[in-house]
Amino acid sequence: MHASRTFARACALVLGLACAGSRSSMAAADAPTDAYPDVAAAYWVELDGRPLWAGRADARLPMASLAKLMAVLVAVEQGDLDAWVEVSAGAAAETGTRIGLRRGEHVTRRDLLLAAMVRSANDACRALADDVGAAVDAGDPAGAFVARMNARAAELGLSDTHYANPCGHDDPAQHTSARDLAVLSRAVLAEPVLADAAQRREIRIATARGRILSARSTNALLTDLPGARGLKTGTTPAAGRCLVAIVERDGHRVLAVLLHAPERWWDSVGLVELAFETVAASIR
Amino acid sequence: MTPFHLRNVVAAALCCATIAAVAAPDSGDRYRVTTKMQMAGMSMPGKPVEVCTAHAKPVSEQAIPKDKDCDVQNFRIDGSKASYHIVCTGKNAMTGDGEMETLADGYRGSMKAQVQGQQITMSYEGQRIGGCDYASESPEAMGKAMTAQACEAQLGSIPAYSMYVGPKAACPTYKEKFCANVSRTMGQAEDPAHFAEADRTFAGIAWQAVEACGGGSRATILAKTCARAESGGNLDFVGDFCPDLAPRHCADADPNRSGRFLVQHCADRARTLAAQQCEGRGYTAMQSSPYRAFCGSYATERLRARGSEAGSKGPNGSR
Repeated sequence: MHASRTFARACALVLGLACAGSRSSMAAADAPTDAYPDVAAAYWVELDGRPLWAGRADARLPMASLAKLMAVLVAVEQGDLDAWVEVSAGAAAETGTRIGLRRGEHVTRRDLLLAAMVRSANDACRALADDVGAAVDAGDPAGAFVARMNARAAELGLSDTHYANPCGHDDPAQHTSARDLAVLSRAVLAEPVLADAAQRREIRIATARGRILSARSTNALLTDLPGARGLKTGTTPAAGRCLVAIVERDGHRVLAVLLHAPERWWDSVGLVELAFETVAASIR
Repeated sequence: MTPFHLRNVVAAALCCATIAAVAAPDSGDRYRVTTKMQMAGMSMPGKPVEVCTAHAKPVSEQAIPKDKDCDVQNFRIDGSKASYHIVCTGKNAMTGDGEMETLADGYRGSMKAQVQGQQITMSYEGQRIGGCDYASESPEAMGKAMTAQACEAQLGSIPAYSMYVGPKAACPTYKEKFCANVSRTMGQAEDPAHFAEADRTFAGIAWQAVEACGGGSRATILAKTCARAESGGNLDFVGDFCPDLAPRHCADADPNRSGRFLVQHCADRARTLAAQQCEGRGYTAMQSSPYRAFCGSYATERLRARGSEAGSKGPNGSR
């Protein structure tokens, strides 16, 4: 029976090898705990897609310019990013953060998208929305674009999200949740154009006539926090200070969403560092 | 008869060619073996299988399908035929009477067994379909080849060290090669960055492999690595891996370079620095400050403390 025993041992060895190395990565995703309840009115922190901590994750809250995450996603999915867009009167009249577009100027969709994402420019965001929306309803392009945003939100299963305008102005009917923003952020990051835009510290765009417009990112983390890759800031009186932070280190990714966070920068830095500490802790 | 018993009997029939292989000559015969089982008026044919067996007499006591709890009695050979009585005890208890015969191009045999009050008749027939290289095609040779393949495949895998080193090693002859790989991978472990990386990547198993290969224990290596980290000013490493040494570096630690170390291991100095450089200052206002990294570490520790405080108050404590 020696031969059979040898064969059985070899089989056991091979089977054993197949099992080796499959560490606790199979562990079920635990429900996030509300470990840092005072960082924001609502927050969500995940590591490599696994929720770590969250507070009031499903609360419906104003989102400020985090609305632009959906606006740029819809625009990218529409495609034709090198098409020239004429800046509408509505876009040129946009208030809040702007990059300085003038009515009638021509800018590519790609550059509008960059300005909306990096500088959170409302004029660029509105110009993009008007252009994409006009293909559906020339009479109310912004309304048509918002309808697209809501339809896309429904497709993504964002049950606590509703848009009333494309760029994030306060509106009682405009709301989202920290959990929905985490889902949306993953969809945005899956678009290479947007993932690239999100990590730019500054941009320089040119109109068709060669007027140069430059701007720095509103995301302060990109400058000093190692591994920061985005994603979007937002601030309005109703929404307070909001942030979606993406940080990647050593093959791991932390996603942090904060809505109405008084100390969004310091606290996001802390949340990110503490989240990465859990990687080291899980190995030791 | 339970399915377990049935499987055992069939497996034993298929194995009889293997049992005959004990003599292990260099080449063998390839047989197509067919089995059939009859019980309670039902016939269950088995799927034919091909086996490579050593040249041996199919009609021999060794060729009787049985396990270690079986006793063969009254084995008699008469020309090309043989007969026997078999009694098995234990988990697979049974009694049976069998016969076997050498044929011109193979062998055949049958056994009538009583298992748990039921009669089962099992028959098998092996038809020689050609020759084979017993050295490479026997179950034993195939087992050895699989073992060698697995041993080769894992040579570079430090977590697989117990395959190569130690009393239960399945690949002891590969120890030297494996340990050379370990030595190559872990050779720079006294460098703090490499040590931390090895710890991160392999956790404790890397050090078990190093020690098993005679390279010293984790504690021994860490002592040397900590000394190097201290002399190189890598205080984050000192704080993380040799915290006992941390206090002697608190006074001279550079907040810009070792902010996390200061915050985590030098509470008094960190508090003083934070009061001077961080508190009340906005993140964006500190873009050119040399204390920004330190203040980030300080913010992290403050957040950790807030979290602990909230946790101790319970789920509604701070809302």
